[in-house]
Amino acid sequence: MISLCAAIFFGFDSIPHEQVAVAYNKSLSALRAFVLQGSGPVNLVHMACFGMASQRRQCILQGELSDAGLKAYLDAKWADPTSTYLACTLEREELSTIIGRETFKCMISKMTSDGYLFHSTRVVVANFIST
Amino acid sequence: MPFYLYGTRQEMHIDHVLVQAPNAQLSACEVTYELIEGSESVIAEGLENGLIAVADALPEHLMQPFTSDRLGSFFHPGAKLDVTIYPDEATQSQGHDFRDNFGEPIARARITLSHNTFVDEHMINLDPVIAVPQSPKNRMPGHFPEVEVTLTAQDHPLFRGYLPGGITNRHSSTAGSTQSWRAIWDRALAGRQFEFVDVDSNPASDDSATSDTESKTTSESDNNSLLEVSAERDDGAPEYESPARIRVPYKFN
Repeated sequence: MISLCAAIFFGFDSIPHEQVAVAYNKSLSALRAFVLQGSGPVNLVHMACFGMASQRRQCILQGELSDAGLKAYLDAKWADPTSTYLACTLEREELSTIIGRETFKCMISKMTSDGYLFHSTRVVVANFIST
Repeated sequence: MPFYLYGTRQEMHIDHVLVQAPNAQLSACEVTYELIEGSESVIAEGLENGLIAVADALPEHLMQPFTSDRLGSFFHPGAKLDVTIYPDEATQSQGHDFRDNFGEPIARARITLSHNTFVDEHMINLDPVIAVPQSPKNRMPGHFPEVEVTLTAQDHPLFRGYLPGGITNRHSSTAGSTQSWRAIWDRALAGRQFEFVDVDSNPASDDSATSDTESKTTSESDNNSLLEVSAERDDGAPEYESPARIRVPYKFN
């Protein structure tokens, strides 16, 4: 009786986990983060995450930031050159969509020990154009 | 250990090539190099489309899985990596074994990492099923919050409050936390067995202070605790002496 109950219990318990596994292996639109490198033409290194199909990509984009975005980013970088700067997408999209369109809007922020600073005045919404 | 080498002649960057999971993201921007063998012009030409720089002295397969200690020992500002540089043909090929697809090396160099490095061995390996945040509204027995959240968002863990070193304090109220299977198991059991019990349906006026104390205790306490019986009477006696006034809040992270 105990084993039957246990089987039923574990049987039910396994269902949501299987569903989760299937869902996480399906690539969906998602918010993405890139490590920002360089100061003229910039490179964006996609931050991968193996656990989700949507984020399971290693990709390095090369392009340029819009003038306002580049200025704010360079100002921030000049003030704090050792920090990591991130470019985060503002809309949930597939990576292939971004690459195909060759441009996207992003929020540039500085990564700090307690999170990425998106409330800072240094945050800019930049338009990234792939070259 | 292979790295992508890319950028311009003035600004070169490297990023660790991910050929297996779990792994670590290692990026360094504006690195410099001393050429040991080969032609600088060949490297400069190849940078635009990307090159592969293999750190010869770092056998990745022997160093996996990476830990922050191990990563910090060789990937830090000022660190020098002796690399063999290959054209980026391996990633264009259809083969599965990355190492077998290197062509002829075009140069050997010593790369020096700049002050700006990025290391993440946490977020990149995060298990989203464990890390899924659970909202209080999904407490109903038989409701599986993971499925709902999974289907609607596969956002990078950064957007859920995670950082390379773990979870942030600032985002912890809205984000999940990395938990052991035991914690998840305990929480699931509690979710099946308990509901929010507030027997004290008509609180007296002096209970308001107690409620304030409770909420303060709850907010200040660590979110990892599963069940909290936080009510205490003024005389210090535990609340369970008076069954009619037991307040058993349970909460999810």
